[in-house]
Amino acid sequence: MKVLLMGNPNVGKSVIFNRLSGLNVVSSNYAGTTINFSKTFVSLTKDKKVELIDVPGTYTLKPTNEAEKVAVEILKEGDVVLNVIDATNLERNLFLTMQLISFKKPLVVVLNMWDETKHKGIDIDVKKISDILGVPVIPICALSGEGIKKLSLAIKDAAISSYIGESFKKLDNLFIWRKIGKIISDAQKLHYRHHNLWQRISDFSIHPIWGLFFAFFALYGSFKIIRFIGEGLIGYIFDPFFQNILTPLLMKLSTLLGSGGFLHQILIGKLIDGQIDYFQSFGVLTSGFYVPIAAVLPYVISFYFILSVLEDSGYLPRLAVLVDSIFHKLGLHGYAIIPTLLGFGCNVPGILATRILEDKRQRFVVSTLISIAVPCVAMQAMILNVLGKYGFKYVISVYGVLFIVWIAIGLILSKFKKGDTPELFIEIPPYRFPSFKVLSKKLYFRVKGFLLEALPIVLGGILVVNLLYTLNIFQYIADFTAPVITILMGLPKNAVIAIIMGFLRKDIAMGMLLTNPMTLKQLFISTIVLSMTFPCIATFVVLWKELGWKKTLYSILIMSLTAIFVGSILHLIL
Amino acid sequence: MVKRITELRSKEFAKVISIEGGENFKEKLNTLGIRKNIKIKKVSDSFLRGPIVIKINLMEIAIGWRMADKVLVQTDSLK
Repeated sequence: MKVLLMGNPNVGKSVIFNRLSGLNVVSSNYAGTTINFSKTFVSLTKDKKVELIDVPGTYTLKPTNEAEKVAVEILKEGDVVLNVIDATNLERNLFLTMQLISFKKPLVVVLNMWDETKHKGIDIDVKKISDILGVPVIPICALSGEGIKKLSLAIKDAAISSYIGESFKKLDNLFIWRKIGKIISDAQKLHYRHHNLWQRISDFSIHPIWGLFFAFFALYGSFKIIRFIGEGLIGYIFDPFFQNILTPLLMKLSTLLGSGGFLHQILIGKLIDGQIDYFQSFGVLTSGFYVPIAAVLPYVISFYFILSVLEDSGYLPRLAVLVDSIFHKLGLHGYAIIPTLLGFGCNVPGILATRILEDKRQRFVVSTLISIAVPCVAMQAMILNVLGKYGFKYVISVYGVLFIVWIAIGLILSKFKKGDTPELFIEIPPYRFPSFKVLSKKLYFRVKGFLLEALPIVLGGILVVNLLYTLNIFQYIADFTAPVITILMGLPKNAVIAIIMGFLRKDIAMGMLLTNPMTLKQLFISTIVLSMTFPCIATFVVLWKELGWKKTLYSILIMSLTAIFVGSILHLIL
Repeated sequence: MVKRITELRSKEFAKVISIEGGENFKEKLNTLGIRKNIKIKKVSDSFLRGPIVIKINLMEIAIGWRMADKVLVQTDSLK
């Protein structure tokens, strides 16, 4: 049996999905080509297993975009529909319910965010709605888990409603609203409530002037907190662990291996002044573990913590509204800020998130901008670790240059790839205090995802790099590209190897840069060039999948030209 | 008085009386609940013809300036 979770966007379907599958046995993720939806098997009763599908949010079943087309397709296969409704927004949400009813599928109506109705002065007569529609209506609070048990028991009582007799094709909006109006007047009472604190903050943060101050402090504050937590974790936990516990062990191994030779080169790497230097030694057991775990992981944790808070609080759509008029100058609309911010974590989810933008042109532009001018958290962690030593102004300058590049490429692309940018039209969710449980779960999955993906690539990459070094292959490449690297950008010719290695992962590439003796200026330029060039392999694959090979190549061409251009300009003016 | 959403002052209430544009456009507005006879409140403007925030019941919606300019509203008979 297939049970579908359907409803408007942002009504808590996925939270319910996670709650229900908390009792599950097997779970899997399916990445569709146009849209992601998750499914899993859930045992509702001892002997009965059902397939639960989290359908992308949709406002209407008259497909106007890809997501809605997918939703209608899945609906055809479903046996039971759990129609999730935001109870604080009953009227609008019932529109989809009416359309679902006309499809004659067994239905359960789920009134989520039940707790919020009370604060907001909304009185809903659940029994009345259930009587009118003739289907089970279950009030729940998915965040706290209240009512979930009842919901799982109610699935077997799902019923076909006869409230709408007409078939879907014959439905007319006015008729639907009349039918909804009847339910609302019978089953819902509103009591006026005064503005509460959240509401005041909300008004303030979308105000055209105050909102910009708010945005500045929110983003600046986020960056500060990310650094504070990241540095704290490194300084008090991860670095001491490596220095005090692992270094003595690795030094023993080094002596055992005779402080040199092939195996030593691969496992420990180069000794710097007779000691292990976790950034420069570049062995599998030294830099291979230190870079992803002690240098990058702490920032992954702190970045995703703050990002999750921003996501769950409801601030991001407001930020989208504020920046919309600025983004329109780049031919984008404000919602593009969300994939961009996600890209600061990892370019992959950032580029995937461009799916929330309507048209292909915008998706191409935003994906290209992300892969060129938005450094992922691994890269940023290395920038902070490496350039931060020389002073924070260098770190800020890297961001400054990337920001200018971001705007410049955006402007140029908006001239060349003209198209009408659809205007912003979005629902602004109320502010909510992020739930600790949901937050920690999300953080856990993101951190786990990072470790599973990064560690093998870093370790394997360092192994391969060391092998290639001994085979002298890098020398040929370095000689070949030397004119561009040394003459145009003023970098040591071996820097190209690190830049090429950026194709594997940016954090090891940054580590490799350090194995070359460089001046501060060279370090600064090569950091920027590395940030902008080749997307790492994961980003490359996702670009390819999302944009197709032609646009990916086009995007990479733009990227390479920009990197060479910016590197040369910086070499000239610094 | 009949105005466009873009002409409303912030915090002003009004009732939608008609929407200029084709069926697709009306259908799009309909998905977020903007339709004939619905009461709205303008929450805030933004500068440079950026999106306008309006409120329907308890829900806030950001709507692009040019879209908002196609929605005619009536301000009297509403406090």
